[in-house]
This record gives sequence, structure tokens and C-alpha cells, in this order.
Amino acid sequence: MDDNHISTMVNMNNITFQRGNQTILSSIDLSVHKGEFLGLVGPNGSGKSTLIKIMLGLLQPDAGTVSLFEQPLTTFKHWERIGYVPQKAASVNLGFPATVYEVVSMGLFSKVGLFRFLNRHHKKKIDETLQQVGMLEYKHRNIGELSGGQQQRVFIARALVSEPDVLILDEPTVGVDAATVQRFYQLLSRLNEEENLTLLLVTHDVGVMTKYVSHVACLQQTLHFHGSAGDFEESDLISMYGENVEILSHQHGGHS
Amino acid sequence: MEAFIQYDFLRNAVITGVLIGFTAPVLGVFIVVRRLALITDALSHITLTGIAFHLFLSQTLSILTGLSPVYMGMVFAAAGSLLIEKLRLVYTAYQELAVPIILSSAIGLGVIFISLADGFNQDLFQYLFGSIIAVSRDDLAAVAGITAFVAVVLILFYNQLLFIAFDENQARVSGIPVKSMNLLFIIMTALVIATSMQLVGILLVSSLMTLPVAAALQVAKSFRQMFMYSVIVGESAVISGMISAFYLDVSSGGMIVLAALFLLFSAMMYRRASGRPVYHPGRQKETAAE
Repeated sequence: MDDNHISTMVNMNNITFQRGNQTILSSIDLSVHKGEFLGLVGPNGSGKSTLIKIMLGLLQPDAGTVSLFEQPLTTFKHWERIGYVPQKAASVNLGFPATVYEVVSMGLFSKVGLFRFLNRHHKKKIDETLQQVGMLEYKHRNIGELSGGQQQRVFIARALVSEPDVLILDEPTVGVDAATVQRFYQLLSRLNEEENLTLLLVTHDVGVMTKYVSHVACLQQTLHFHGSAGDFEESDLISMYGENVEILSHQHGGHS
Repeated sequence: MEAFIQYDFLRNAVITGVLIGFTAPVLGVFIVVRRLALITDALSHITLTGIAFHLFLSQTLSILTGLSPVYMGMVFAAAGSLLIEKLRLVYTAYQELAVPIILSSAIGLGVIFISLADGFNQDLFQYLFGSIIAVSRDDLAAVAGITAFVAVVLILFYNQLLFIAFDENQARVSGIPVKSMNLLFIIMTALVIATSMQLVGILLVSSLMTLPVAAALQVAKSFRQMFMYSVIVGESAVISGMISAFYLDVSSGGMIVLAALFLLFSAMMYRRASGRPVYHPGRQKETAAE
């Protein structure tokens, strides 16, 4: 790519989204810059997933514009530069008869294209990516036989295998136990630091996340805080979540 | 066995059988994993509507009498598939609603055409339940053409179709043209159904797309194996079903379905005997294998 100098990976400008008469998102400006590990937090129903879907063109906003790699979303073609790990089990059929290897290979499809098949280089890349997320030994296992945390790591491998510049994760830790969540964040921050991968993590689980991310954005219909993780204070959260303070618990995990 | 080599119509039937024993299960794999198995029923019934329409028209338009009704069936099935795709977008949260809407319209229209065409005759009966003497040279040519079409599409778009079947949203985000791929796929399915029904019959054609896949689901360990086992079961069912139908002088569709059911049952037994656990989605322990 000749556009390596681009530093704004995602730019959302004045996004408004309504469902019926209800305003889900109101005038959101959000940008993700190269090398950032941005945590997008907000309570359930605050519009986080909606914002991500608008970012990826899966939903049309009522107002506002999105650009990816400084190109308008409508003309953006380089989808292999974006890795997306959707909310667990939201759209994936987990009884699907595919192996871990087959699931990860899907991540290469937009790159491989027509008439082309997976070659030795692709196969090596799949192995390396599985190694990276610690799932290589499960390569030939059926995706449905794995635990929730393992499946999530496989989906991350699928998003990483095309060597994206940005990885977007929507609530990746829902239904995963606390110890696994911890290791999961360590993996993400390693990818951010060592591979210089830009990360956008969407979560309602504020406690653990703030230790790893570089920037925080708080969403509750509008954007309440957007800055570096160091400037982020718990009072920002309490003003946003109100009474619902148990989400601050660092023990938070397990099934939610 | 000599009879199958000796008589033209039997040879046509066997070749047709081998071709649809491949195409029907292969498309069935994608259909079943996408939980759209009932769409095949809707499409087969709309094929019947097309055939009834042809029989009705050919009473007044003599040019149609020489033509196989299958072509009209194919036209109706393709149109029906487009309607289903449209309805699935209208009812995104209730995609299966497209099936009963199309199914009942197809039967309603079909019954009207049948009564206009002087009720049931031998021709129509053959299309309902399948017959190995129903396959003409024309029909064979149509099946061969469609098989070639399916094979080419699968070779070109296997990866894309697999990704869409696994996760439609994710496929869209990866830049795969999901809408046009879905359209291509459902038209392909409609054509395969329309051409399979002479042998298997309209009422049973969906079984050829779903039973082999159901058997493969029991034993396959990967998506690739799903195809392999589905085709093996599909071909075995078609060939053994046709031969036994000929010697027992019964409907080929019925025998093919019975053969497929027998293989499905065997696959279930094999799975049970091999001790492979039956997988229940959503019931696994989160930390089980960590």
C-alpha cells in the first residue's frame, strides 16, 4: 500500500441513528488513529454495537458520514485491512460442521478472490496466526466442540489472518470466565504493542479493560468522554452509568 | 443390469440420476447449514405450478405439446426463488416466513391450473412421485447443462459461499458481494430442483437435498468432508433406488428416499457406535477445555 502515511484509520462524523422514534445515537464524532488501543465503553443498550455496525456499513445512519483509511465508506474497497470480530454467537451458527482451520481460512477469502486457492504461503499464515492466539493444537477440531473462550480466539485468528491494520472487537468477552478474559486482554495488548495493530474494543465491562487500553470513549447515546486512558476517571463513568455501579467491579466476568 | 444399457430411456434415467445425485446434495450442504432446508419444498412446489401451467397451455397451444414441461417448471422455480429472496429481505427477522408464503401460493395456483387442464392425468402423476421412464433426451440435456453450471459456480465461488453460509454479516464486512451471491445460489437451487423432479418427484425432491446432508452431518469432521459424505450418500441412494424401483416396478422417488433414509439411519448408528458425543450448541462448559 502506498498510503502508509495515513494515520486516521476510522473517522465518524456527526453520526445520528434512530430506530422508530427512539434516538439510539446522537451526533457522534469518533476517530481511531494508528497504533491506538481504543476501548469503547457504555452500558447495555447504549448503542455501541449500532455504532460499530454503522462504522462497517452494515447499518445506514440517519445522518453523518463515515470514512475508513480516509476514504468515504461508500467507495471503500480494502476490506482486508479491517478485521472484525462480531459479538459472540450473534450471527454465527456454532453447530456449523467446520474445523478451526477452515474457519480461520475464511479470513483470507476477500484477499484470495476468484479462481485462486489457498497455497502453501496461505496455509503457513493460517498456522502462524493460530500459533499467535495459542490455538494451533486445535487446528483440526470442530469449531462447535470448543469452549466459548477458545471459539473467540479462533474468531480473532480469522480476523488477523488477512493481516489487517485495524482490529474491531464487539463484546469479545461476553460469556467467558474471568481468568480467560485476563489472558485475552494480554493477547490484545501484545498485538497492539508488538505488531503495532490498531485496536477498537467494544465492551460494557469497564473494570479490567481500562488497565490495557490506551484510549477510552464512553458512549451513552452521545459520546461522554474520549481521551487517553490516563485521563479517564471513574467519576466519568458514574455520571454516565448513574446508580448502576456494580459494573465497576473488577471481579466482573462469567455469564452476563 | 443389461436392461439399463439396452434401453435408451433407462440409460437417460441413470445418467440423470448420477448427475443429480451430485448436484442436489452439494447444494444441500449450503442449504442445510444455513437452516433453509424448507426452501427446497417451496421451490419444488412452484416447479409443479409451472408444470401444471404448461399442461394447461399445451391444450390450446399446440406448439408446446412437443416441449418438455420441465422448462416451464424451471422458469417458475427461478421466478419463485427470486420472490423468496425478496421476501427474506422484507422479513429479515422471520426469514422462514418466505417459505409458507411461496408454498401456499404455488399450491393454490398449481391446483387451479390442474383443474383447468382437466384434472390429474398420468403425466402429472409422474411428476409428483417420480418415474424413471419420464426422462427424455431433452431432459437429460437440461440436467447436464445445469450440472455443468453448478460445478463451475462452485469452483469459482466455493470460498465465498462457505463464508456466507458460516457468517453472513462477517462475509459482508470482508467485502464479499453477499446479495448477488445469494441470488446466484438460489437460482441455481431452483434449477437443480426443477430438473431433479422427474426422477425423484416434486413431493420428494427436497429429500435428495437434505437427507444425504443430514447423514453427512453425523460423521463429517470438516466442511470438506460434508461434501464428500453428502455426495457419496446421494449417489448411493439414487443408484440403488433407481435399480430397485425398476425391478420392483415401483416409484423411483419412493425407493430413492427409502435408500437415503436407510443410509441416514446407518450414519446415526455409526456415530453412536463410534462413541462420538452428540454436540449440543450452547450447552458446552465455558472452561471445559481451557
